[in-house]
Amino acid sequence: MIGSPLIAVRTTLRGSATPGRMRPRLVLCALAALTLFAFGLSLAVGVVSVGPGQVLASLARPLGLTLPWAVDPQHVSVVLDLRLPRALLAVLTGAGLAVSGAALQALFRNPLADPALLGVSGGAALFAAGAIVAGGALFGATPSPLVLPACAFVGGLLATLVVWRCAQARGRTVTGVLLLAGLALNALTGAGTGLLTFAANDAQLRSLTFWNLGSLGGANREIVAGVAPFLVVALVVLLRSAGALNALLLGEAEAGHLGLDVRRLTRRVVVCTALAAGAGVAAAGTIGFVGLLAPHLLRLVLGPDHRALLPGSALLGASLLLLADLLARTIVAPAELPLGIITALLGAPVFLVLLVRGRATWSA
Amino acid sequence: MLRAEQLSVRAPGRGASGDGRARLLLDDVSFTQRAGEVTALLGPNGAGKSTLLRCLSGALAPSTGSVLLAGRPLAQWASCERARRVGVLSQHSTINFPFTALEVVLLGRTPHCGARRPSAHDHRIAREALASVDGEHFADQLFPTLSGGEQQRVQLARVLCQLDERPQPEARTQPRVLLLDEPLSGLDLCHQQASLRLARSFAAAGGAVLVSLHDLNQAAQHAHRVLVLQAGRLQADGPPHAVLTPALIERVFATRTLALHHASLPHPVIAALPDEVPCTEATSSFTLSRPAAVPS
Repeated sequence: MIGSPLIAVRTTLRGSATPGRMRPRLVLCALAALTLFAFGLSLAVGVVSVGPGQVLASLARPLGLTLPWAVDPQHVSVVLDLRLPRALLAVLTGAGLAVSGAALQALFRNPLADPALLGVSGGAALFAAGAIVAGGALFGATPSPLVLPACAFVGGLLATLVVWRCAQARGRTVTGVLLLAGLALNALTGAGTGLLTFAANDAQLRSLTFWNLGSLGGANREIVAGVAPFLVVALVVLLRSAGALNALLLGEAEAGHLGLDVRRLTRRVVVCTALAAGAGVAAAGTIGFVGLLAPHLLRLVLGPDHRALLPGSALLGASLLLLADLLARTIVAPAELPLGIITALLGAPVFLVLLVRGRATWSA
Repeated sequence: MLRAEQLSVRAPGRGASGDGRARLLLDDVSFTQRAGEVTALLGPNGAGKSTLLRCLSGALAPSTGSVLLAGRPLAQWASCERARRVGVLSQHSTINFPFTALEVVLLGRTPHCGARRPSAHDHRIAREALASVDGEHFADQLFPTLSGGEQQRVQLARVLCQLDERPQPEARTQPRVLLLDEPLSGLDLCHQQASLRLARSFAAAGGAVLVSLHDLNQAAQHAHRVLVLQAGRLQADGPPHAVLTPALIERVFATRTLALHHASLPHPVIAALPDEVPCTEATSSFTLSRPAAVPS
């Protein structure tokens, strides 16, 4: 008798007879709440603790609103000038990486695809490094904040195109070649970045190390304003392609038979992932595993339907990066751990567990 | 309904044969597929069956010649409109992602949905399509965990669901073509028969079916018409009993056969002859009487 209401609750939550699946709307609401919570937390927590009321009052101040909480002007500056840009950058970069990962996995019909694994992040990092080391000579002493994201974007796009062209045979994408080409390209861009490191002076070296390990520490309003348009455009286009990406999972030929323009879709996905990953890398360096982990975690509860998976990945990627960045700057405060180390340290073991748990359902 | 006019396809890349001419995968193939007809496409491995089906579906542009759907070149159809008219079941398709069987079938509604989500109507059509291939009981199972034959049936249901034009009554008059590339591989005898019966009822409802097969008896039993391809050329075109003679089969498949007649079957059964059995004109076709076929 006690069992039946429990079963009823469980079926309401899941909404489908497929084991493990949950209702998409419920999951998305929970993820949105998680993102909001993580966002608030990263505004409040740090070397200086700011109470929730004071965070709200600080956020309301530039909007011209006065809330009933008294707030220290120094706290307002901490929240608005330091933590807000950083949190916004975490949201944008995390969402960008996770959605790029999910879209690339659909494009290559392989759950292993990830901007970092395919050399996209490597290409972006190489071009960003080039801009740092040779930027003074190429773009003048004080280049605009858009130069770096633009270079990283071009690098990411080139890397994606090279890997994708390598893996094309008779209109089909050969997955093995794809992953190996990504591996080779990663080695190549790694060597290039290494050469630039060798040629760099001390100040450039510090910036380069920052790229390679990944950090949101450089966030400020200009950088957020510089990368936000790239990321927002890429995210919107990718989210709108969700239905087409579902059909693409059947195979390129099958998607064509279902009336999709596969070449155009492929081009759109390649450009947008390069845009999102490139801008993300430009602002925060190479951050691994978010693009792999978020879609994989969500497929367990949502299934592969991109109409739910892509927005879910955006929210989960954003909250993962917010929380990882929170850890990065509080664990050894007042010093900071590089963000890329945290995401890899936490992401890799979780990913291994997912792989082992799900290996039975892999067909190849 | 679907017309192939002098289709030729050159082998891609450096496929030049000894005499310096490029090897042809299809060589001057012409035929008209009529509505209401199931046509079986037969031929040895590498004869060009899949290439022909790819040309007819628009996936491959022929080197010369053209494909007309309802009198209009295939390339002139809007891709979405074409997808509602021509459904293709490919030979090899794998899905690495944990879709349920029903979700795979629902993807067949993509050309009907456009940007919107599948409606309750689409769900109903998908469920019916899955039921028609005897797959209701695994509707909620994950596609990658199904057996090869079950996956094949789900894919067939997806293509049927793609061509379902209900509730528009005027859609009945529109051309609908089903192209099946070896749909029986991996199916048990019962589901082989069931799949071909589905193809026949699709044709009976005014559609056209072109199906590549390896089993000559299945072709003889279910097809209204047989096309035989060899080395890219159309060798024969006609009703199965007229085309599938031991002489043609030996010429195309390099295999000696017997055509066995049985009173309870409307067409002969084709049986391959072991090499050691001598075969003369007299024995190449004989009749089994009913008592001989059913020993008591």
